[in-house]
Amino acid sequence: MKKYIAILFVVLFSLVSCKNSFFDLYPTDQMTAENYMNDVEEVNTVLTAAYSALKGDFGDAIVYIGDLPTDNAFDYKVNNWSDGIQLHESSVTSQNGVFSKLWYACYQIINRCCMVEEAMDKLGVTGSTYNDIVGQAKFLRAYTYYVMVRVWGDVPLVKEDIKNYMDVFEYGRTPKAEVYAYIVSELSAAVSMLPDFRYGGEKGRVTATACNAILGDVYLTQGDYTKAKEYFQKVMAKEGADLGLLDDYAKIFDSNNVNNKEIIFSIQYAHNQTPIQRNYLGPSTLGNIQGIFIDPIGDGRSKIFGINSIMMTHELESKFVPGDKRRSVVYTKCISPDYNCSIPMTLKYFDYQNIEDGNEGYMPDSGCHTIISRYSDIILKYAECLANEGNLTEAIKQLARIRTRAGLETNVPADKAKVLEAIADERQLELCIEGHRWFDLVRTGKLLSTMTTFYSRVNAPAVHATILQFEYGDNTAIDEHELLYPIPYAQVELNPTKLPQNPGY
Amino acid sequence: MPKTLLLFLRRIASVFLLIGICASSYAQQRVTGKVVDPAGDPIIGAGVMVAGTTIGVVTDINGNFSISAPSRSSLVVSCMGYLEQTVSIVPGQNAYTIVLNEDSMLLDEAVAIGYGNLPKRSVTTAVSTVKAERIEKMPVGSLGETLYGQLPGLYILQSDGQPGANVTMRIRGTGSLTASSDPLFVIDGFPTNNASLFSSLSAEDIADVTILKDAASAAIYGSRAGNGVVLVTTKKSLQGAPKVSFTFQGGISQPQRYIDVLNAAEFAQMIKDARAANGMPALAILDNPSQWHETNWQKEFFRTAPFQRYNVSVRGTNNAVRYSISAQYQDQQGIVQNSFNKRIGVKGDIQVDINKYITAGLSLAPTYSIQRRQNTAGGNTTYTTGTIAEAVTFPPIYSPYVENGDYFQIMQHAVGTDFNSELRNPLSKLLEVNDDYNTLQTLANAFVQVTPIDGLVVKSEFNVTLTNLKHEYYRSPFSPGSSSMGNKSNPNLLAIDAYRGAGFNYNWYWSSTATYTKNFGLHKLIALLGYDLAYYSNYYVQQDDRTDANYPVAYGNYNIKNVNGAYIWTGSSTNTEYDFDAMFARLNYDYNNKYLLSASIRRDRSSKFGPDNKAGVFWSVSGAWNIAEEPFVKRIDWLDVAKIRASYGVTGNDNIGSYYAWTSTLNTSTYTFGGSAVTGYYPSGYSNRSLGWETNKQVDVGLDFGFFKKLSLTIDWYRRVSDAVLSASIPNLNGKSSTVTMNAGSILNHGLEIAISAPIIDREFKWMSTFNIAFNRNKLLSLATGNDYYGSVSGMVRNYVGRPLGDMYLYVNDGVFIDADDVAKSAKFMGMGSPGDLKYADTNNDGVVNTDDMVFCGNNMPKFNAGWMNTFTWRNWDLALNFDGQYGGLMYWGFGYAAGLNRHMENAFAIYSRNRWRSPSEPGDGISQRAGSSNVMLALFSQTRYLFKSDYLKLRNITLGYTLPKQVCKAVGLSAVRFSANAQNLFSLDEYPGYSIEAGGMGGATGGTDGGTYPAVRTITFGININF
Repeated sequence: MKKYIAILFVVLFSLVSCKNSFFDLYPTDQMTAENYMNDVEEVNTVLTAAYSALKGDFGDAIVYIGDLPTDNAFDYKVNNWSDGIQLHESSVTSQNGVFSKLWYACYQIINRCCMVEEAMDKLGVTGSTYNDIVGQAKFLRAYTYYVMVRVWGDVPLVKEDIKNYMDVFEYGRTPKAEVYAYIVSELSAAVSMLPDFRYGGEKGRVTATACNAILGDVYLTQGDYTKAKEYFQKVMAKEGADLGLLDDYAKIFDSNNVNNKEIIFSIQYAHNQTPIQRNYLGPSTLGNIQGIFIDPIGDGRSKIFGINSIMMTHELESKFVPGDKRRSVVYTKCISPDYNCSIPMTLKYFDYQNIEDGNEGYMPDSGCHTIISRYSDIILKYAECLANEGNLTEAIKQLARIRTRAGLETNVPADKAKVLEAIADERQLELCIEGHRWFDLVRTGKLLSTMTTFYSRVNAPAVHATILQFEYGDNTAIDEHELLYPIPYAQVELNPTKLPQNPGY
Repeated sequence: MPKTLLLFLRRIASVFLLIGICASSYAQQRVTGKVVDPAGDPIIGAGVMVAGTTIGVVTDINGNFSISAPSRSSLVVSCMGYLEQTVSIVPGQNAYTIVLNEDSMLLDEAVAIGYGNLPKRSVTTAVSTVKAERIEKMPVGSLGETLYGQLPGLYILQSDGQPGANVTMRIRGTGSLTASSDPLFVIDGFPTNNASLFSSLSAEDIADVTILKDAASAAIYGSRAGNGVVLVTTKKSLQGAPKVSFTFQGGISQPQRYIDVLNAAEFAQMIKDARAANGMPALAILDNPSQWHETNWQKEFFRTAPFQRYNVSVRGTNNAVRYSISAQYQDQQGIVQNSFNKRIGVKGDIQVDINKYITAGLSLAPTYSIQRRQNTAGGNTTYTTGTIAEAVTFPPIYSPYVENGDYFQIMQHAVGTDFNSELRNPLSKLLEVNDDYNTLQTLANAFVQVTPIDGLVVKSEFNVTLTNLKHEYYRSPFSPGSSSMGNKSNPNLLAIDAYRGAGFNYNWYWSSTATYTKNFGLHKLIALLGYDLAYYSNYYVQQDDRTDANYPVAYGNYNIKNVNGAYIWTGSSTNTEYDFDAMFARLNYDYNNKYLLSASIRRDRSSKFGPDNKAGVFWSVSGAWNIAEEPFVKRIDWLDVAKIRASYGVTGNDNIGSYYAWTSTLNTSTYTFGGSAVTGYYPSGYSNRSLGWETNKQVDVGLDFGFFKKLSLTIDWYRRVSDAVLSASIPNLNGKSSTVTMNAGSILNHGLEIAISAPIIDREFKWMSTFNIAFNRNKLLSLATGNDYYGSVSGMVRNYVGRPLGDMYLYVNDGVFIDADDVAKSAKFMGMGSPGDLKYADTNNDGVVNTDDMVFCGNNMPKFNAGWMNTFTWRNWDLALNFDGQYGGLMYWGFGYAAGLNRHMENAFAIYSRNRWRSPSEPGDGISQRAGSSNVMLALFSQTRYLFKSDYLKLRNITLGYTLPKQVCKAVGLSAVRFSANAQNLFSLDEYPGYSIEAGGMGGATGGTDGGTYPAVRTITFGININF
């Protein structure tokens, strides 16, 4: 009997001393963050992740903010997208999803760029490899701060990867000027680290040209026309086979003609990829007008409709005079049976490949890019600098380049105010629904007056009352505090002393 | 088989023939006597029956009785609280004194306490048990449904009525925010978190179910027991020759109720009103009732579905071999079209006494099930889900099918009507989507038990659980697809969606214990020492097939036969595993049945936790005083049991979701450079090396009383504080994550449980009644990051520190704007509002309606829930009535939005549209807005008109049974036959207008909303049970 007892007790307790390492199990499906970025190749994948954070929330928000709170675009309210309605009707609250998503996307880009830079420093790599990778990271981080500082004013300036998660409570809002200084120094450093143009498989990456373009923009926003002009000239000096205006306006946005010579920097999307690489602005900018398909070719093959988020206002549509070639990307063939009028929308994000592929429904894949900077934007901003410095002749000459391509004459009197107004109007037409209008109006100090006029409906077309209600809201008004947008509610709540809310929210 | 079946049918036939022929031709004899207890005191109201007959009398106040009985028969004497006794009548002897011994069964019956049993009188902790007879008769799809209201402290709701779905269970409230609050299931000693292993057990195979409620009883399961433990013991062998039992239940399931929506005429009028209000042209069909088909879409959507269950078992003992074999088949068709769950299972147990010291055993229980699910929840604008919302909103003027057999689709057959173009015929989604889960679950166990010396039992057991899953999803080309263009006569290949998945879950568990029992005079000691080691793994692969015109997928499709067309488009896989071990010890001390003490300690290690916190120690102490054993109390006649219990313990919860919750993995993303896709990697969040166990600390004080040998009363008070792991919000300005998983929250649950059990009438007609009620109060005590709330404070469900989880904040409906004056003078949301629109209260009187006007309306968790079980018996008849209910909580009609808009686009709920605002002079009932409001947004607020009390009182189960008289059975060679009629969920008293009051779920941090889940069903069956 004792034998059994002995055997059983041995069996019973032999495992009691099971080693601790038995319990060290790590995921077998995924890599863990504990041990990564050990070589340049691995660091490069994190840089790719920084680029990929440009897609979606970040890029979409630039267009939402750039056009919805202006006279360019509105949310066609049947989709009940309150974030978009708030943006267009000057009633943004701190809980608006566009801003909370943009905030997080910005810090995702920033964090990944910080990790890249720190890892490269640690690896001790030097020379062109270092310059190329770190230069791209510096641009992406600086550009992100440039978007943030214009949307929110003072923002927490995070320049490093925060290792201990409780330390995030230590970061407060950094004064705007300090953020701008950081943006300028980072972009200036990146210029010398990057090539002017990219080719082949490198297309889509940041270039020195993009750094100069954004640097010019940063100075322009701060009202330093001399500096701004200097950087725009640096860009324009590169005009040639790799940079210039396309002859056909519609070709700029064609998903089969991405990264064309007019593009300086764009967020890269692609059609029919796995995993999905589509631009959500594709469906956002198309309407779903009672199930009527958007069929620009007119051969009945398209079975696509959209989700009504960024619809073009009738006011903007009416500003495209007959003969303006840019009408080729304005779609007005959707006639609402209920409201008995055409509903205009932009085709800048309409991917014609969907028609060939037979895709259908309200979520068509779009491989069209979200363009951050293109050459005609730079030309017009250059003209703006010239006009502000009083060089009206040259400013009109630059403006004429854009109008000529659009098939229009340029008859602007040599009056500074008139020229600036003509440039601003041209920017609205040339760059509509590309995320520029709101930033332009704030920069030129015209936001409040423009929107007050707009909301007063003085230029409202004669359309159904419901459509007017969609486009103008009811008794809508804009207030000065809306020149800055609210810090996301949840962030303020988490750290109210260090992250105070902007006034008015 | 045919032969046995024939024999079986013949026996049944003879049973029927013999019913009623019970005449007896024996000589009669008058017998008198007295029934007394062991002390010689008379027993009042004892039943005296002539065995095998329905002849019976009851003793009088002096314990005397007089009865006429055939000679050579016997008398059966019974009384509640005493052991039944059979006395043979000796011819010639006419007077008998019958002594009934006290039934100490209630006190001495073994109670499962985890890794062993204790006599009930020795239990020092809070445990509740329900026995087989209260479980096995119910016509339910899953075992959990039998437990409603039966066990105080166990709260059950069936939020998902899908055939084969598990019920949700909570023991003493919710103690976690993000981790699971489900209890641990221990099936014949095998601990598992897999609720479906429990659900798919056959009710006929269950001996009893016990719940361990307080930390002291559960602490022996350490880190796995934080949410309490459900211990299941299955039926094992029976003494003697093989006993064969057969049970059949068959019947129907149906929806518990339908929702009132507008009929065709009312609908047409509302659409006309809406179109007129929107300035839209007239629509011809609305004025032509002859073109309408009055369709009740809910009747098309739901159905009366058959339910059947068979169970057969053989149990017995043959010398040293004890065995039990059972088989079960259940076919539960769903009340929603094209849904079902079929299950077939066998269970075999065999135990062999190898010699007088060693016993070995093996059990094997494979179950195979085929489930077809329907995803009914969601809004009515997607092409895969939201079918319930579609059934209530689809225009009732159209028939489900058009003439050529095609599904009626708005986008195809009602173009130009402006009806919601995203609304699809719900039948085209139900019938054209097959979502099939084929699961083979196997529980296997082998053990060896050695009793080397008297009092010492050493046992080692090894369990293996295997779950194989085959999942097939197929949406056919007859379904509309995103363009709404597909149909039977015009298949839309783009609408095809198909994927296949395969899962392989493999777990093993090795448990070894040594139990030593020793009596030293009046001292009794039970010591337990044990070690558990376990491994769990989950493996799943899925293949999604490319589905366009060039690559039609064939499987599950009856139209396209080209299997070769399938081409893998994308896929995914997971493989996760974790290791676990535990060392534990427990000591029970008993002095003369009077003073009881118990203590346990356990150390667990798990790979789920951070490297700095892998091991956890859990412990408990408890004691009890059987006052009734004291001499000074023993004298009190009417007090049979008086016990005071107290316990304190620390348990853990390791169900923190992921097996790798502490570590940050790399996520992938893709970006296109120069036209080609490049993969990027980034950390998914922060790692937390010190992430540890959720701990629960619980105090329990309990009282057990027994009075008059009849009445029993149990009261428990508890206070449970849980330290919750949660994903705490942090500022997201490092771009890695906006949350960190950490031990950050503290939640209190405290409450009172009362259970009373008594025979209300105890004569020939018996009424046994059990009532229990459980009050639980919940409170979020603190959050480590200093937040004063968890989750969101702008949504409907909010969780503030210092408040219970699940406070409901809503906009308060303030009727409708009566006229332009009313619009002008009332506060509005963003200036919106026209006469007839919904109006909301400006609760803070600041002149506008905004999120600040959402006010506290109550909590989504009930204040108490209760069960009331009644059993009536009269001669051969028995009747069981089980009620349960809850009170004091709120629930939200989430899919109310879908049919509360009164637009020109779809049908609406009658209660929000029939008496709507029509004009300032016809303002309607005040909660129904006008048809065709241009301010649709106003109808989409989280608003009080969709808020309802979750109070209910349900007749959960009613069972009427008739047992054939013994001699009838004997005549046909059967030992017992019972017929029964059963109904589950027969009626519910509640104010909820949706399908099922339980659809809102348990409430808590994120719950309380009915999003249109598959409603719980009513089932009515007839059954027969035959013992051979």
